[in-house]
Amino acid sequence: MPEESLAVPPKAEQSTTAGAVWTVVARNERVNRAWKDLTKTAGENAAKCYDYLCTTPMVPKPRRIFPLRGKKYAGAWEYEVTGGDRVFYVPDPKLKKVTVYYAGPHPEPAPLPPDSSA
Amino acid sequence: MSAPTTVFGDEIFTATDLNRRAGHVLDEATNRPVTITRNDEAFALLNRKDAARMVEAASNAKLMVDLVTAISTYSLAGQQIPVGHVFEWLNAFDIDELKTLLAEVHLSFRRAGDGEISWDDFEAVLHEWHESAIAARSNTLAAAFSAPSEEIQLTQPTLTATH
Repeated sequence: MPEESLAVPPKAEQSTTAGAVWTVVARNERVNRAWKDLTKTAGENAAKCYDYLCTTPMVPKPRRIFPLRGKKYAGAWEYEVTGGDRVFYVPDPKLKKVTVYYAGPHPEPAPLPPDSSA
Repeated sequence: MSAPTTVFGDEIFTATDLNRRAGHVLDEATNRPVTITRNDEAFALLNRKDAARMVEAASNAKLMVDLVTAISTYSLAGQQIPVGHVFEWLNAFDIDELKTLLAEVHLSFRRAGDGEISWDDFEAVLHEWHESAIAARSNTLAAAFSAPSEEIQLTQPTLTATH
């Protein structure tokens, strides 16, 4: 599937056009649809998120914007849009490109196997 | 600024001092905790912020001990941390990752204890590791990151998107 341009939240349109440095793309159409849903439910926060991704996607903010730890998603970042919504993205500083892989409700960890409490 | 190694500065006032020279006693307590004595009792008088910071330090020290204990008891022994344990989420990481976690958390713990960063910053480091563990164990996220992507010319964000 082709990557799609990430939909711009209404409140982000004006502020990002001038200062945008990074290209922000969605991994695919499905991600972009989820992102657009997020802009409807958390418009202002989503707009701030978009601004951030366009300008300073690799500047951490404790608790809110940070690189994921561990090997599995090394290089990926998490942005806490709201208490229950997250955006996961991978910035490419050489290309100045941000690829959003996930936007939406906080992902749940996989359920543990039944005998894992033993 | 380094953290004091002792709580009190051996500045002792009586309850009568507190009544008669409250301003002076409070001035002293602004700089460091002081002791107020009455008969056989001793009370501490200190800045409220300092008190809050001490409670935070004690709470986070307990957290730090629990974290290290969980890793040493279970992870280093090749066992899974039991379900229901407050640090069960550490099971998402292997030993090398846990070493990295310990190094980062310990450094932030020391820096918070020395007053270089806030205890909120220390807690943020743990929070970020916890969030990373959730991400690492999420099937939803695994599917999102493994979704196919055709190598095409990347498109810049457009302002004509529907809202």
